[in-house]
Amino acid sequence: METKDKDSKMSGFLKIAIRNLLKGPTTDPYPFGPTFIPDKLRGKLKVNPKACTACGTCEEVCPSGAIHITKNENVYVHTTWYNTCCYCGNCEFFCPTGAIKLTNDFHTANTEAEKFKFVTVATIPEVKCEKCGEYFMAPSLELLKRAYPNVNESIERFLTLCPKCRQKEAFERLHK
Amino acid sequence: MSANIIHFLIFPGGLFALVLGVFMLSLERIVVAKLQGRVGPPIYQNFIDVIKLFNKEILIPKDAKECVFKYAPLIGFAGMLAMLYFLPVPGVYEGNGVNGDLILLIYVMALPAIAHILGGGASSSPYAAIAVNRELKLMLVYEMVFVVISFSVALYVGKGDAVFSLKKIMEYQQIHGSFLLDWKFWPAIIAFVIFVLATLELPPFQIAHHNDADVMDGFLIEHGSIPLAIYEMTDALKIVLLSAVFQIFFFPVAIADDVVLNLLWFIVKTTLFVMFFSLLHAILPSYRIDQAFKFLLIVPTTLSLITLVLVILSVKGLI
Amino acid sequence: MSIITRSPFLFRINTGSCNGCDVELATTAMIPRYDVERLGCRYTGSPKHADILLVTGPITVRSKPYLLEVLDELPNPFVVVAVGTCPTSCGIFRDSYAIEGPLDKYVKVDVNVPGCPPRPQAIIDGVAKALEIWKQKIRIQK
Repeated sequence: METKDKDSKMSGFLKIAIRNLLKGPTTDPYPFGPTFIPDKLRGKLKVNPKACTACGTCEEVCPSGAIHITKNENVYVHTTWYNTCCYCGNCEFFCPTGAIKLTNDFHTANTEAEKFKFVTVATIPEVKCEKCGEYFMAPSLELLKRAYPNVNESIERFLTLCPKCRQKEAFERLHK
Repeated sequence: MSANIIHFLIFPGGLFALVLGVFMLSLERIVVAKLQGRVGPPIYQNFIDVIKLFNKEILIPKDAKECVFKYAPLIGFAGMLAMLYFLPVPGVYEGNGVNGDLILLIYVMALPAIAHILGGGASSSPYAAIAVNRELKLMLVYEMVFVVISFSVALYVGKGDAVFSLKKIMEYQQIHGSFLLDWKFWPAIIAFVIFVLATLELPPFQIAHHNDADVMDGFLIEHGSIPLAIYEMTDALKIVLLSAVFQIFFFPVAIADDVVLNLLWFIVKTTLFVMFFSLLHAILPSYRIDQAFKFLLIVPTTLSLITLVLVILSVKGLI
Repeated sequence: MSIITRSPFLFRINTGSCNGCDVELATTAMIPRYDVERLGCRYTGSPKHADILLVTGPITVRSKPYLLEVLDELPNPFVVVAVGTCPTSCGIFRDSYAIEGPLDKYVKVDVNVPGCPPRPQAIIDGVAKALEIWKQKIRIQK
């Protein structure tokens, strides 16, 4: 309360003015110099294709509909349009594997000519089964670590065998 | 004859005053920015502003009076340009004085405000109407202050008979010592400082123009490219005129016999003058119109009347 | 004449935004930390003095007539910058009954600065890009 009274008189601002003259300006030097960037800044998002399993959770929870997952032959294409993303972080919060994360890149100004090209694309290819040769969507290592407490070699067979072949192999191992 | 044209167009009228005035306008912005802890614009910023304004399209509102809207800014600009031809610069230029140029100065001081009022009234905008109303109220009181100060200076120089020639006022002070050091004129100097704040529309009297709280850009809200540029140039000339008037009335000291040194001394004095007013601009908040009217009616008028009474008493030999 | 582009005058209009982007615009102008005057910019109070128009907010139904009036009053040549995700593509308010669409429908936008709200440094980037486009428009006009 006391400081509020002091600053409302005229002499309060005179002290601030003299302090500004003696100590120099307090301006951030951007764009003529570097600026500080905090670590948790909500910038543009990035997808790690090795960890993503194209489950579609991020597409479901995005409030502005910026994420689209489509399938092109045997490859899932994960597209985000930055111009309608609202940088909320819902996708990062709900992603089960931690594949989609917000970086701290804040340079989002773009001209009208590149408005519809301001996207980021990640491709998640399907994996060919070792035994039968069919293409299937394999889980990633992060998903396995989240589902099973102890990821040993038999669980890692999830990564290379399609569900039918894996069932046959597990049956043989347990009942032979 | 040709010397007169040079004095009118290049020095000290026309080009010299325009260039100096535009630099002073951006110097004011830089000093205010430094006092507020920011980095201000570069020193040539207002030049580029004025040049850019000449390249834009002129838009005239539908209900505006076109003739008055387009040609009203020239009244203030021409008046300031003409007055600068008459003013003596201490040590450099003798002034083209006829015997009554103090009275001419009193009339011409009011011309930029009249140009603002005409231009603002001719644009059919409610913001401009409010700003013109406020400007008229302020003009009533601050013109009176300037008249009383001029009369007290004129009476003192003439020892009872008023001397209305600026050249003679300057010469009297160069012989008898400048009025800045004379205790009888100190109330008049304070009143002159308040008058300059009111006529340049700086805080605490920033009510009618550039007041971001209610009237936005005031009477210039509908003006476009070339009228706005002419208003800015008039503002620049007005700063140089006020600084020269302050120096003639209170401190016309030349430091050497060399013309170039005296010119540099004039420029240094103008720079210090503008920096002092930037300090007041950065510190003070702005009044409402009724508070400003009451303040201007009571405080500077009383101070200048005190100086007038002291001058009369000293002329009669009582002090 | 590239020297003209060193003194842009900015005008800001809010067409129904949540005021997040307006707070960021106020910080770029007024507080000493992100001073925009050192680039030569100045905020004006009237669209007739403006060179760069900054629009925030998705265009709501009630604010549409005011936006159209302001777009009428801008003198040529001018540049339009859409600040925030809302005027660029309506963001999270898309398909609402009270939104009249992104800014593209009414005027040719020059620079988009998405973000909710964008950082002041990103807005300064956007204004710098707008100055380049303004330079080219002046050259074409001559």
